[in-house]
Amino acid sequence: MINIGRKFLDRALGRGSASIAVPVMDGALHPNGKLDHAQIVAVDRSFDGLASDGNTLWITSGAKLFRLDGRSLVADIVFDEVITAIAASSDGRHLAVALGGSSIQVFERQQDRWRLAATMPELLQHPARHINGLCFDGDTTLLATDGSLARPYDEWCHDLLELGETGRVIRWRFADATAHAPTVIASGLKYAYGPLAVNGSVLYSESWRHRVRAIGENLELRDVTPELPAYPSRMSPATDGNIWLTCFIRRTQMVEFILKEREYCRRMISEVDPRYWMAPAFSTGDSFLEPIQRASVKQMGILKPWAPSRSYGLVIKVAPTGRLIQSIHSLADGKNHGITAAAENQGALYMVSRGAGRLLKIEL
Amino acid sequence: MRDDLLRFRYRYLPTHWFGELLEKKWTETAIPAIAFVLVVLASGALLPSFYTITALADTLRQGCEVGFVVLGLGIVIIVGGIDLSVGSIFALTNFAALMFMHVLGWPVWAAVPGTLVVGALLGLINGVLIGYLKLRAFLTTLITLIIFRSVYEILTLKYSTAIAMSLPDSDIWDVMGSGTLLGLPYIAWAFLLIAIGTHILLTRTRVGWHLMAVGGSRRSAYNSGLPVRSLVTLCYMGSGVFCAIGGLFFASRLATAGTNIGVGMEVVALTAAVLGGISLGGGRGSVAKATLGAGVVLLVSNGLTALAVPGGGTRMVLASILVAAAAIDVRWMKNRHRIINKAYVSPNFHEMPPAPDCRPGAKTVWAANDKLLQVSLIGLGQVEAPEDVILDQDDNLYTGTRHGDIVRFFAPDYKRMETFAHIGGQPLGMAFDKNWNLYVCVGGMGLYRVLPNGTVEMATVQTGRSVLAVRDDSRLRLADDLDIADDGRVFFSEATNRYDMHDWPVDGLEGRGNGRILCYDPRDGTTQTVLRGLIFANGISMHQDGESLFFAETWGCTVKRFWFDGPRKGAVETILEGLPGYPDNINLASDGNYWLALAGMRAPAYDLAMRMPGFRRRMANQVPQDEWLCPNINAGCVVKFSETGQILETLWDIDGVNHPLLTSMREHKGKLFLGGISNNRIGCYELKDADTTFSQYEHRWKKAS
Repeated sequence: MINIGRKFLDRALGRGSASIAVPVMDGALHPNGKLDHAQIVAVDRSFDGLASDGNTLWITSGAKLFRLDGRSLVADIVFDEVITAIAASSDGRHLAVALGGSSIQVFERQQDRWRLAATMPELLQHPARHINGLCFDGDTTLLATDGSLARPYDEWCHDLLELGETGRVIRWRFADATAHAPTVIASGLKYAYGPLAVNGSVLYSESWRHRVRAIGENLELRDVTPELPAYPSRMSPATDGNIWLTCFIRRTQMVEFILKEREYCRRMISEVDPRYWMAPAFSTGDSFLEPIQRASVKQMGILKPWAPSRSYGLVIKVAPTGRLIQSIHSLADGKNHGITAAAENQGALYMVSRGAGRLLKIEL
Repeated sequence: MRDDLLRFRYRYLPTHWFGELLEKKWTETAIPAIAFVLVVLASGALLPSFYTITALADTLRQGCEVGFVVLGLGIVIIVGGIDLSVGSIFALTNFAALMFMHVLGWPVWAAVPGTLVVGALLGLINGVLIGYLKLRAFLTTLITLIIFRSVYEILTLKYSTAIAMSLPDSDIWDVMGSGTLLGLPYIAWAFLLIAIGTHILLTRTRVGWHLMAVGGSRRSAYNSGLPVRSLVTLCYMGSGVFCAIGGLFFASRLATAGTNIGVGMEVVALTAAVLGGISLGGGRGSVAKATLGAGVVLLVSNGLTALAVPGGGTRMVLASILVAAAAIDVRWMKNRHRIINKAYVSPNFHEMPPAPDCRPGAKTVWAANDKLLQVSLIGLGQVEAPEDVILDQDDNLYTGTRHGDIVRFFAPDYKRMETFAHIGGQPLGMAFDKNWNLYVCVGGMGLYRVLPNGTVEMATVQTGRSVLAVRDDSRLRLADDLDIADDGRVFFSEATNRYDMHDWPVDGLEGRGNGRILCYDPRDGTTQTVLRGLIFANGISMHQDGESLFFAETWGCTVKRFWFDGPRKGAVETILEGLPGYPDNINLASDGNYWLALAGMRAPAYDLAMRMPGFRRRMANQVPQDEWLCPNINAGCVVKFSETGQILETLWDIDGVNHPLLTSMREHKGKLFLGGISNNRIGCYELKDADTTFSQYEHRWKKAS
């Protein structure tokens, strides 16, 4: 009864559970245009994941796995299915890929070739469907995030609008594949993304909750960064011991509001082409059928950088303790939006902008 | 099914009236009025003898005595002060009246003004101290409360026996105290007259407006040159006089100078004033509020007394009412604008036929192209917000800017520019009449006329008020586009009558028929509304038959034809509907067809929202305006249509490089000139196979004559 009353009051006054407030981008998150000034290394609409062993940089594009060789990309392996996640071990001996969101394969380097070393056995009750992040934990263990049980990899936005909470974090000791089936170490997550092993604990993004959490050695959970103004995605280690955290979409009050409007979400999913939803996206402004918001009307031929936008570019450097250190942005008037992966390689930070379909590079 | 219900509800329930009613100042009085009615009903139910004539008359007598005091205090509060000494003044003037009548034996005609003068003098003491010596009202009147009370006590000690010993021999005096006229006590009539007079004084006279101004902001009033000090003094004197009137009637009714007369009256009066809705901060209040407040307080205290609640209990209740009313008043004052704004925006159920496929490569005439990439630019960075463009017989180009100017670019290269006329507002649609006077619709102002020498004249800024309009709709808010009939009558559209120029996206969010078409007749200067209930009435263009016109409804995504003359006079026919974008201006093309600008394109997610009014209302209440969903006006196109409603050609700037937004186009001698209200440039597009001698208004007026 009290709960109903409180909910009613919250709705009437727009606070508590009905609040659509979004944390302010301030301090270390102060917006800048650095991402728009990044060097464009390569362009491909399907770029998605990045992996680095410190010397070599791999990048995925659809079913293809490229290696950055000097300034050009060389196709290393071509698969039958779309690569939805990639990881390289720090010693450069192993490479792991997730295919079609459901299967994981580990390759081992033999001279100049890659040999299939292990394939993850299927999880018994709920087979993986939406693997979007991989990470090696030592030489023998692989961590994976399975974003959603309800929707496949390219329907992440459906999962957001449906308030999905079926994400999982999976641990798999691949070196001894027959003896060790993969285990689920966290489940019921509001979209899991981008795992990272740090000092014995496993970090993962819970995107729809805008936070990064850590799983300790005894599977206890703790917050790393509790309230981000954007939706975190993948993570990779920085050479100075910190973490590069990419945010693939940004929170806005309008989207927070839409997510509370269940009927509108349902009807939009069933009646409107996903490209034209009023929902977060990797990129915006591609079609006149996309909805716009009032302050994003061009005035005198100019779109304001701080106009509300459904897409955004953001990479954050986070300390393992959760302190935000610095950030790289692309604002509403920029193009390099929808950053899904970042990796440090040979003194430079490489990033994938899915919105612009670009591999970007910033010298550190 | 659900949509049918919504459709029905939004068609037949004018929900937008609620916000418009709330906007009226008098609706604030509704709350004390409701409280008054409730208290009357409750008293009637709880007190068996409440409705008997003697009880009512008695209640009225007491009520009016208190009412006068509340009126006086109310005026002081409205002017931004407070008068705590009202109870003491009441007692002293009561004493004065008794003294004059009983002891000194004055006739009534001398005793009444004498008492009023005493009241005025007592008020003057307060007034001089507060108005001229700038003492704090609260402290000053607290002190005079004590001083007047002491004087009263000293005097009564000396004269109460004398007062009690003699009785005045005056019929008028007796009638004042206990007589009735048409069933009502005299005091009630007096109160009614004085209340009406005070109301007129406060709301309809210069001094009343000055008093309100001082209460609203003393500093602004001072800076505007009002005599603040004397006004403040005047209102304290007024308070004293009102107390004296109350005291007079009290004296005539009870003829007593007891020690507790007027004790605690300031709290009762203050409670009544605040309960009525007179803000303690000043500047807000009315006679009606004071009267209602007095009524409620009196009935409550009488009722409690009749129910045998001890005096302490009654005072406790009154004090609680005072605190509650003051708290509510503070909250209301703080949130009033927000609440009204929230209630004002009232989205409607708005459904449109599906839009044709316009994506590049689509197999329709609508398929987006980049023909408009090849425009040459005129006045880049020199003009801001050229909504409409027009050319005269010398090929000079005119456009409005958001600075309120009409600027002129000189032919043939349009490099040289001058300010042709300054009107103000936001000039929108334009048309030339027979004598090359330029008629301009100015957003936020009305319909204006610029003579060929650059003189600006107002044509019309108002029309008749609609019968059913809650809100005064006689003033033009957003005159948008126009065209001129052969006989010189100007037909122009008003996009919306609920929002100002820069709030047009809010009108889009409502999607209701808030617009209209008006006719201005320059022959007799009259303006009439000829068509109502249009969903953002926008572009207007005469049909070549001279008795009908085309008009565009922007949010309705339709183009319709309206007959203003001839056998079909009054008829409206839909020419285009379910357009993929939001139609703006319409103009004649050289081949007899019509050009139409689409200012923006329909987005499916927005169309869906238009079918969900509740969603939009919540969005308007919860989401900041900058983030509201908005019609996509970052992309648009120019369309050519025939009078039967066939789409013949579309011209696009698909990437929105030069013309993200197109609000108008004008064909002139083989070129198409393009305007856009959020642009900083005018475009010029070379038409292929067009008549290179065509000049719209030369052609028009040659044909008409």
